[in-house]
Formats: sequence, C-alpha cells, structure tokens
Amino acid sequence: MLLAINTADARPIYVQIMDEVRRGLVLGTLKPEDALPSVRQLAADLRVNPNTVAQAYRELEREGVVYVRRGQGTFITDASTNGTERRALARGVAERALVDAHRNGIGADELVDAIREVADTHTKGDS
Amino acid sequence: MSTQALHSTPPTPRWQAVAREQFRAVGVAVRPEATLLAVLIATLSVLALVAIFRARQNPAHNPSLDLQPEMLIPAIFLALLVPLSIWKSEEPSRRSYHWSMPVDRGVHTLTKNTSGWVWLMIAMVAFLLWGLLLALITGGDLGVERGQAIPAWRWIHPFVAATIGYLLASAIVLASDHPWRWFAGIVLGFVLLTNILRASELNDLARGLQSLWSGNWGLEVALTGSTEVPTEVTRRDGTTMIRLIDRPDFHAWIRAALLWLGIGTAGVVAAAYRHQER
Amino acid sequence: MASVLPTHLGDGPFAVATQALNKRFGRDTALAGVDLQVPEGAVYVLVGPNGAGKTTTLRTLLDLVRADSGTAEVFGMNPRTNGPSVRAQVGYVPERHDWGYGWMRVGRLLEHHATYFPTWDRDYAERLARAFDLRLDRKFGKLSKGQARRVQLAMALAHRPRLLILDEPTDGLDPVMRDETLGLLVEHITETPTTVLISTHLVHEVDRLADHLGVMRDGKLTAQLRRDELHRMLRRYRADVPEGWSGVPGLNGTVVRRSGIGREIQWSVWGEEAEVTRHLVSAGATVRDAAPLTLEDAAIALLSRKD
Repeated sequence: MLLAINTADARPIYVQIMDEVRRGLVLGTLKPEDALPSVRQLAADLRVNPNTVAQAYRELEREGVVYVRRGQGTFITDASTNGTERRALARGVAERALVDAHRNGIGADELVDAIREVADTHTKGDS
Repeated sequence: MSTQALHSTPPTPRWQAVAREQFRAVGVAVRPEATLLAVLIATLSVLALVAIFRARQNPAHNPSLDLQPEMLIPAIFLALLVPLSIWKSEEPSRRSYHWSMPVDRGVHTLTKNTSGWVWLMIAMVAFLLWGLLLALITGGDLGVERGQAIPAWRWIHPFVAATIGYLLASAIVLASDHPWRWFAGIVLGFVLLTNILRASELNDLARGLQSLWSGNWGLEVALTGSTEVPTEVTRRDGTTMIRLIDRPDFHAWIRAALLWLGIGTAGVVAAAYRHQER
Repeated sequence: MASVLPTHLGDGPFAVATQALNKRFGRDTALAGVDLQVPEGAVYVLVGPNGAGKTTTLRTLLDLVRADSGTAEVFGMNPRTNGPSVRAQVGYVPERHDWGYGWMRVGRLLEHHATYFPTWDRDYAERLARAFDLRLDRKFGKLSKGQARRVQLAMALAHRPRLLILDEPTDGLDPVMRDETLGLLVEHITETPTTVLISTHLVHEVDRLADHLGVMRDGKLTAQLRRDELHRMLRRYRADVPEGWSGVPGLNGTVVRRSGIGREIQWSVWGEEAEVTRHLVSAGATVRDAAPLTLEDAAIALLSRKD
C-alpha cells in the first residue's frame, strides 16, 4: 500500500492515513473484504509510530469503513460507502486548494472559474 | 501500569553466570599474550634441553634442570603485566561498557579482576608442571635443595608473591588511564626520594621510606620470601667474615606477605568501587 | 496569550523523570537544571546543539555520570542506588562507537552481552544480526563506525528492554542502513511495549515516529511537549503587511522566528491559530497561510529562538 505522508500537512498523520484508505476505495484499488496491512507492517513500511496507525484504523472502524476480524486483521467493509467517501475526498482536495489559493491571494470564486477553465482545456486536449 | 511495572522488574543476571562469563571472556582477552608466552617458554625449553644434551657428550658434565620454586620468580614480573592485558583498551576513560552492565559496578570489576587472578594461578601451575616435566627428562632434582626437601611454604610463596604483584598492579591499572606512568613513577620516585633524603642527611626518614621495600615488613621480603641474615662465611684464604646473605625465612615472609596482600586487596577494592566518569 | 513554551508534561506515568539535574565538569556547566519527562510508551526525541547536555543527561540515567544535584528516576527507581535494576531494563546505544570489547569477535560479544540480560531473545538476536548484516567473526575493534553502530543496535534491541536510550543511533550509517534501522525500530516497538528516548541530529528521520519532543540548549530543556500539541500550536504564518508596518505588539514573546521578502513576512509563532491570526489581522496584516512545521523545521525554529 503506497501512502504519501507529509508531516507539514495541516492534517495529523492518522487523518492522512485515513484519507489514503479512502482514496484507495474511491479509485478501486481497495475493494470490500480486502485486507489492510497489519498495524506493524504499515507502521514499519511508513516509518510511522504504530500508535498513529492504530489510531487511523480505529477511526476508520468507528466510521464503518473497515472492520476487524479477530486474529485475522483489518478488512474493508462490504457496505458500499463509495458515495460518502468520494464526497469526503473531494472536500479534502477542495480545502487544500482553497488554502493554496488564499496563500496566493486568489478568492474562492476566482478559483472555481480557474478550475473550470483548466478542466475544459484538459478535456479539449484529450479529445 | 507503573505499579505493575515495579512488580515485574526484569531480572538482573545471576552472579554465577556473570562470574563464569567473565572468566571465559578474560581467557579470550589474554589469549594472544598467553600464546606468545607459551611459544617463548617452549623455545627456551628446547634450547635448554639441546644445550644440556650437548653438554652431556662430555661424561664429566652432567647438567640437569632442577625443579625448584625459584623457577617461578619470573612469574612475579608477569603478574604485573596481566592486569594490563585484561583491561587493554579499557582504560577508565573507555570503560563505560563494563560499567553499563546491569550488575553492581564494584562487584563486577572485582569479578573480572579475580578472573584474571585465577588465570594467572592456572598459568603458574601449568608452568610448574612444565618444569617438573623438564626436570624428569633431564634427570634433575625434584624439590630438593642441598639434600633436603624444600619446605611446603616455599612452593606456595611464588603464588602468593605473584598475587601481591597482581593486586598492586591491578589497583594502578583500575585507577589510572596511564598505568605505565604510575609504575615508572612509583619506582623512580621511591629511588629518588630515598636518595634525596639520604643526601639531605635525613637518615631516619630515608630508612623509614627504605623499610617499605627492604624492611622486616617490606615488599621485598613479601616477594622474595627471604631476609638478609648475617652469616659467617669462610673466604678462600681461611679467614671468616660476616656477610648478609639471603635466607628463606618463613616467619618474616608470612608477616610481610599478609601485610602486602592486605594492602593490595585494599587498593584493588578501593579502585574497583571508586566512581569514575569520563 | 501563552508566551511560554511548555516544559513539563503533566502527571505521567513516566518511564524517565528527572528534576533539576545539575552537573559541572570542571568549569563547564553541562546540566543547568534538567527536568526531563518521558512518558511510558512514548517515542521521545531529544534535540539540541552539540554540548547542550543531551548525552550527559542520558548517561545520568545509567549512572555513568552522577549529577551534582537533582534527582533522576527510571521507572520509579534511582539509577544511582538501584543501578543494576535500572540498567537491566535499558537498551543503550551510546554516542561513541567503540563501546564494547574491541579484542572480542562480534559473535562472541553478542553472547557476552546476552549473559547479562536474561530476557535476551536468541531468535530475535539472530534476525537482527541478519537484518543488520553483522559480520560475526570480525573483531569488534576492527569494525568501521557504521558496522560497530549496527552491532550496538542489535545489542540494545535483542533483550527487548522496556526503555531504549539511543544516542545518535544512526550516526555513521549509510542512508540505506539508516532507513532499515528505522524500520527495524518501528517493528521492535510494535512487538515490544517500549519507551524510546532518542537523541538525534537527524530529526527528519524520526519525524513520523516521534510523539514527544524535547529541545535542549545550554544544559536546560527550553521546550518539552507532545508532538500533536507542537503540530497544532507552532505554525508558520505568511502574511502581507502594509506600508509602514511596525510589528505586532500582541505577539511579543511568542514569535519564534521571522523572515520575509518584501512586504510578505513569515513568522513561526507559538499560539492558538485563531488568536494569532486575529492579532496579525488586527495589526493590519493579511494572513495568507498558517502551516504546521515538520519536526525538523520546528526544532530549528525553537532552537534558534532568541530569549
């Protein structure tokens, strides 16, 4: 599981891990009943404090995104939460974009227009 | 969680295990020097045997190697060097590995030091047995001097003398980063000071200091086992004179030996328990 | 507005707790009142310039150094009077790499070390020896700095101690080995309930691992706090300021670092984001950004703070 963790991100590390799981779900790289790596494995791979990984898993379990099978590990739930996950991810991306925009003195409306412009250019480029 | 922790403190190692390990580790530490010494002794033995058997070509000569406690005298000098070998690359400024072990520091240092002593004694016994072998090969006397059996205490004496030397040297090696400076310094200082005192006509002080070495309770008596006794000697021209000759003296020796064993032990214990930090 | 950096961590339980440790070596003051607090189970990173007193503090915990005054406790025990019990629970990697019997072969040295720690895990030791690529038949004294370091790390981890005291543990290791070491350390923490106290200059390596930070300077801890509190309270603010800008009086004492280009100024400020932003805005600035800092940047900011 490839995760990008940035300690200078406004989100605490455990939230970043949760977002990465959500990203996997939305992209389809993580499907229901897929096993997440063990806390030990993920912590060692990312060089992250195991407590942080454990916290991320706990929060995901609390939100119903994953469940724990005793003695076997953590798995993605069957429930199709794709919709909520997509929206949550989109909001996350939007927040980060707005912060970036604000840093550059660009307002929300300006940003929305710019996004539409760039998106149109991309679709034109594709076709 | 803390109280649970206090109840389940990990065990510290058993002293027997530590003692055994230190004995083995010290053995590993002195192995290179011991090997060198063994090779040296073997070579000298071979040369001596060769010389003896060649000399026996002449029927008038019948040299042999006698077994006597005096052959262990060189071991006393060796005893001074053993502590250096045991504690090599572990001068006080580099001894923190030893001190960081989960055992009482003083006891730990004494354990290691005692292991060294045990190895020294083993080496001396081995050397004595080697001497016995050479004496048997060359048909020499076995523990006989002037027709009389050598008393038991004279066999013990070299071991005690080596122990005294070992203790004194250990105390210095344990306490100082530069033991050689102390060895040289003590010897030179002693010689210089006695001479200065004599030259300044402070004869009483000079004698007092001198007695540390050659007095009745002096280190020389403890190490050599003999005192200088005025003896009547007949010169070649028939006249007699009184000369001071070394004679083994049990009572003088046992007193001095016990004193210097005490001094050595006190020195080692003090050095072992002294808190040093670098 | 809280202008003082936190230096104490509340009530514990603490694996390590010192109070007012003072130590002088001749004329040098090494420790000037150290109140180190390492909670049980924490990964505590200690940073500071050379000579700040980090190594001296760590050595006090093992009774290799005796403080002139003050107290120290490791799991509630005094390292001076209860030395063996304390040291039995500690895995120590010292600053110096020649710590160990130079004339002994590595394999033999590991066995020697194992004798002293009844909790030595033989299988784990073998695994560590393989992971660290240890040359068991080489004399310890003949190893390079990095190779010796790896032996010391194996020695410290193999008996699964309750407390790991690591003084520059990755010093001398090449980048690949440093990364490996951190991975092994994380695995170790997951397998064994451990408190880790690391003193290091390579702060970025332990950024994701640390949950506590201690900043030491001139023999004192100028800051000691939890990582999440640091993440929340120390931010880098970027703002445009108008002509004739004269500073923000309300932020006195909390500004840790200040830099800027033209009329855009950057401060690292300690305080609640909402409050700091308010102060900046009311002084006429337009706050563009309030970003948290990496552990390394935070440490640099806190260390370069002029009191």
